[in-house]
Amino acid sequence: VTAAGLLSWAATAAAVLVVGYAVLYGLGLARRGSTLRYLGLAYLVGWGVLGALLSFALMAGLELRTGLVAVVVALVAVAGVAAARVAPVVPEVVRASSGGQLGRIAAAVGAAVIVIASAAALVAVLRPAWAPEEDAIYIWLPHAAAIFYAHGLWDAVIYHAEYPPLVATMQALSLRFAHGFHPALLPFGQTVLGLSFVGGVLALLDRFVPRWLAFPSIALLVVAPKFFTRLDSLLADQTLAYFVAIAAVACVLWLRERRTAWLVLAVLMSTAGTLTKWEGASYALLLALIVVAAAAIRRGRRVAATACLLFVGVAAIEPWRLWLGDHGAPTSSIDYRLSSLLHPLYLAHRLDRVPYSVQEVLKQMFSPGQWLLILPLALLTLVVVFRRVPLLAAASVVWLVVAFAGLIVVYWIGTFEGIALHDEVPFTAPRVAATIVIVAGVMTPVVLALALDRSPHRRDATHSIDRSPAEKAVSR
Amino acid sequence: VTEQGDPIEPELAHAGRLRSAPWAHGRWFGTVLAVIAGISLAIAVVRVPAVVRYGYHHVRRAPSSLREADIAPLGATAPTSLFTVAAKTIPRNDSFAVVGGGNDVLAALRLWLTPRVFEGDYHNAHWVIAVGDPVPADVRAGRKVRLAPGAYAVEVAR
Repeated sequence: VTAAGLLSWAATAAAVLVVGYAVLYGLGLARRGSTLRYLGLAYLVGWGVLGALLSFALMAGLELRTGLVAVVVALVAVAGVAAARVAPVVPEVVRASSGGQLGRIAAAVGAAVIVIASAAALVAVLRPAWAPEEDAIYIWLPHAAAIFYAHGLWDAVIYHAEYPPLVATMQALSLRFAHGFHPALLPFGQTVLGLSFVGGVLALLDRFVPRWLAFPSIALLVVAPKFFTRLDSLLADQTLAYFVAIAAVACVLWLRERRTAWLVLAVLMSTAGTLTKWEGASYALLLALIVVAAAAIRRGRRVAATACLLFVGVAAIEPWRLWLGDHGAPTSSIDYRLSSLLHPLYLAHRLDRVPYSVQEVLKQMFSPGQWLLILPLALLTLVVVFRRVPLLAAASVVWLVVAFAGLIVVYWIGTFEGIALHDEVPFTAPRVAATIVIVAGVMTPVVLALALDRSPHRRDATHSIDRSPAEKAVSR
Repeated sequence: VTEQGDPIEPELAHAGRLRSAPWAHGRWFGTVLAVIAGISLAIAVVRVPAVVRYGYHHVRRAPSSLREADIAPLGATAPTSLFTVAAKTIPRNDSFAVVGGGNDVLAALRLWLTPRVFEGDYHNAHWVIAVGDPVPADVRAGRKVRLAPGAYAVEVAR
């Protein structure tokens, strides 16, 4: 790593970690004794929250300069400390992983795989380099370059001006700290972000998923070719998947523990996802609808009403649409118009696009060469657990099916500026389907663990929980 | 209990309280759990040499200098001198247009020459970059700089 690269990343990481820890601290997490445990989650949350705040600042006409970054970081830090005074502490709970000797070995081997893969991923980006992906050259890097040079958002003539600005803003921030337009320095930061996602997921799963289940499942995800080789990607697709997956796990935690912190975390991650890609708003909407419905079924109207807070994550796109409209840019994706769904003749005329799209997207998602067996195992899990946790299984199925259908609808009604479907789908499907597979990979151990607790044997079993004194106090 | 004092959602609650050995929860369910965890672990372990090789080869193939690493990926579209010489030749406040070369070269030039403003109509540009094609006849050519074989930057005389 060059000196410029280290300096750039260290400065960005410092700002990101201050924001991330401030947010977690304000939510009652990452308190004394658990700070390191939440390192990954703090980095991911900090990256998303700082990116969202800076994006809003740029939309408001402010310039991306060091002073602005310092002010934003300081404000979040103060807000975090202030919130911590009123927010209840979220007790540290670690799932007792008494899977016997075999279980301990499985957890240890899974952890070892994750550590080795993480080290390999970092080694891969030790020397500056970036992959010449078409969309990086056409869209993402020009957006980051525009912010880097102009200190503000791009003008309407840039290609795909309507793309949300969070990733470009954060990349421009790194470039700013590097004091030059050096795209080859960016993959290191992206890889760290990806690994922080892995650490963040493990920290959350550790609350309720036995390690013999969590570590092998996440190890499988980390070494999946499409996940691993895209850790350093400058495109926003995998970043979006990180936010969506963490939001989903946070929602499960909220439904399980009913601690406000998890709901707020889910809202923050949904907001970050919404400002990452247009699909992010769709995923945030889908998650909000499912959680509200699940809360209404299980907990009643009051809890369902609280869950409506998740719609804030969807609404985060509105300031961006206002900015776009104000600057003469299209206020929605130029690749498709949702209003096309109201034109039966248009849909009928293009119906032949559906079978090919379905076939190609399924091929990409189920390809062992790309995603190993993540999706087949996720589907097997849903079948197996359906009788034990029907609501959770149904919610997962709905999420998977609707997310997949949404993708197909985009290919059905999309025009993609005249690019032929047979070129567009194989080109984009491996990337845009990543969110579905990654969320499925993360949710598999979640669903299995919750099904475990519905076992008839377990309801009568004696308890064995590793709890902190704080948790015991809360329980008492 | 939750913050509100309610019991934790039963379907989602008991994790963390109970023994979690897969075989302790009904034979068939425990077997399936063990199989899923086992398959995941086995595949992950088998993949380890591949990811280690990936890291090793990736870092070995990477360019040795930052300057080279920044520009190297654009070499997939055209000789890198096209971009580096153009960036040295065209002042940052000037605009440029591109004729010929195709979309990929255009996109790469637009990226690399930022913050110089791209003009879609070469009549309005300070500079015209001709890639493979001749400089349009109606351009009043001033200074002409060779960027790469068959590629020139021409300053438009005003």
